[in-house]
Amino acid sequence: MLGAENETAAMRVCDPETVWREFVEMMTSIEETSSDEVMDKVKPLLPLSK
Amino acid sequence: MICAILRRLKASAPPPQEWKTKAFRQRGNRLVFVATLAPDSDLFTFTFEVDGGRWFFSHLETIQIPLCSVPPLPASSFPDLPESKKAWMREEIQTSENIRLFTFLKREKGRDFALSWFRDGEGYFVAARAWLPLLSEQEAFILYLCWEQSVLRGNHVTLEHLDETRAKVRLQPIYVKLYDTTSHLREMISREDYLAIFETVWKDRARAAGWDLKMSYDGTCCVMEFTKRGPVRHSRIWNRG
Repeated sequence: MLGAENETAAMRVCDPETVWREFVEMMTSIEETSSDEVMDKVKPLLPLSK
Repeated sequence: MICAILRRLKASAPPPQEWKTKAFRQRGNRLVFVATLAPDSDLFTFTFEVDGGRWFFSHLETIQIPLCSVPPLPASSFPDLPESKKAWMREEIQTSENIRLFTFLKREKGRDFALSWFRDGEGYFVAARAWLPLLSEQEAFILYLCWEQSVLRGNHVTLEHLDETRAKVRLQPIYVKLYDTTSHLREMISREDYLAIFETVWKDRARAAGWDLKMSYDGTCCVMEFTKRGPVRHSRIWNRG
């Protein structure tokens, strides 16, 4: 059952409309969001070490 | 860095509710959206990564090569882009490679060695003299700089003054803008080192051509003030045209 829930969650998050809507919501309130919270939703395309 | 880019995008774009997706592609665990931020805006590409049942924002891009499917084969011609976008792409590719080399050399040999690697003044001055054969050496260098930077590299250049002893050029190099608009360069190198490379290159080019160079910045515009070093070497021209 747990596996099925995870699969459903993975499918939900892959739904492009859901991802775009949640991203728009994040951007709408980005000024009031701390940098740590924003960075929690970021994973650079090109992993770089400093 | 990406966080700062997102905040800047929000500050400069219409409200996110007005952003419209135009196309979508899933590539494995990556989701790619092409969208406009306003009815008449350029296209923006937003890339997300899905990991552990969550999405993460990965990349924002403003350049898209207009190939949406494999063309009929064999194919020998491919869609073009505006010159300004191609100039930006060339500069981003070359700069990324240069910064990768600089960071390696700095780590292995030290900062001074890494900076000196980019000194190409003698060769640049040879190019100026060879490709502008009918000007004095002083004029050839300054006008080659203007031509090369504007026509060849797509930078905005204004030559404000040129005589035998003094020249003033306003240069808006893509190089300087790149640091503020791309996230990967700021991960690789400090602004101080980034501009030090730029200034090392231009001061060495000026030195090779017999000019002293003072550089200052007005936003992303670089003001280059050249003063002739040593006596002016006069030249003559015959024109039988």
